Amino acid sequence: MSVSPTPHDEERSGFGNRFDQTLDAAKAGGDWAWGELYRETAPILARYLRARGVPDVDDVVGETYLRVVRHLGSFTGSEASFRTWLFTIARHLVVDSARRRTRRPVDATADAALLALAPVGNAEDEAMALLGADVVRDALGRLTVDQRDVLLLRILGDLSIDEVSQVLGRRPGAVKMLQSRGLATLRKTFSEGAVTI
Amino acid sequence: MSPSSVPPDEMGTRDHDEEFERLLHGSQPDGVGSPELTAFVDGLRTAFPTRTPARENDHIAAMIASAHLLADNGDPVARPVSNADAPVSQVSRLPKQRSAQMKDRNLGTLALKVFAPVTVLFTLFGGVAYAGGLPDPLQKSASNVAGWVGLTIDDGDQGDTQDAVEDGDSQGDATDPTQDATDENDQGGDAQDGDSQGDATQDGDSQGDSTPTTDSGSDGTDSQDDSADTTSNDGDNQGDSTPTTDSSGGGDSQD
Repeated sequence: MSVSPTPHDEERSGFGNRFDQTLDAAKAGGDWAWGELYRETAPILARYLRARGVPDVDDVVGETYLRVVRHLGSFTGSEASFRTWLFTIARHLVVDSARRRTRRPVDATADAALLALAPVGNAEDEAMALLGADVVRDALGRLTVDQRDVLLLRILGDLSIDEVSQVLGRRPGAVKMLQSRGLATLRKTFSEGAVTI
Repeated sequence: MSPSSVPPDEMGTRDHDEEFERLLHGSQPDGVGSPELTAFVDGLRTAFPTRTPARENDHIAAMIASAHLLADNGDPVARPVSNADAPVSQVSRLPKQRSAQMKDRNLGTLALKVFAPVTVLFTLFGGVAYAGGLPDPLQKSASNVAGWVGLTIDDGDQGDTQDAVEDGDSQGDATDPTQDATDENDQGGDAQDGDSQGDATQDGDSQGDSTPTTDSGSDGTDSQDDSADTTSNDGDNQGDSTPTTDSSGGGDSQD
């Protein structure tokens, strides 16, 4: 797998110039490199998964990185390629998990209860975040699944059109179209006052 | 294409896309573009902040353990992509498990290749041997081998003799009557021999007859000693298993 770096790779790089060195060290079996790869990329991946409404985010993140370990030997490319690869693996896992849940529905009450009991930091910030999350979820709920996927990968995953097209397995033109239609839907929603931000 | 030639909707879409790109890159000037869209992007990022997964340490530990496990199994994460530039000093090989599976598969294939033709040949050979259709030496060998395992297969000789009898072979006919005739003569001879044996018995009797003759001589000697005579009579009695001996006892009675 090889993806050419995009112009704004340098801007969003968490590794700086260390990515190649870290990748080589991980391939050579350096334990520290695995931690470095995880810490620099997992938070963004987990954010995308949470916004997508994945019920078991930690499980998907853990399984994603285990697959990375198994197949890193065949990976070559830049940091952007690595991120694209990560999101592709995670999305496949989410789709598989959703299919399994469709066959065997599970009660999500347990997860919701655990989230309610989770420790909170600043109460005001948490309340604002929850309020904002509700509004944003409401707005996202008016998009199609594909439009939502494109906007979440672009906004939260920080991926370019070409990278999103690779994650979704679609042509860049189709991704652009999905993005445009999604943004148009959001504008219409906001202008009609259906959702107030 | 000038802006005036672009339809209003498409023009708006393009503007919105550019505005969105500027928003994503943080290059959107304040007060420009749709405030709702800006609020949505900011709200989305605020609602789902970048947070370290709760089980970070567990995940990293699992990654390291998995990497070590792969390396132990002969499938290291580091795998040379190409040897085009130069031979790699430590080239990764197939995992041990796969290697063992391939070895087992190769052995199974080899065994199949060897035993399948042998089984087919043995079946064909055995069938022909059971039918007695093999050449004589092979048929004898097959019969011997089958005899070792308790099977009975005709050997070549019996088949030939039966064939010869059935075919009316002149040699067999010429030989057999001669042998039969000889057997009959032999039987006749045997009968005569039985007679001669009877004669021999008579001869034995004659020998017994000669014994009293000797005894009679000794009787003459024994006439001087009664006790010796008695002993001599006992010896005669032993020799008188035949009636002829009684006549020699006559000599004794003279004593």
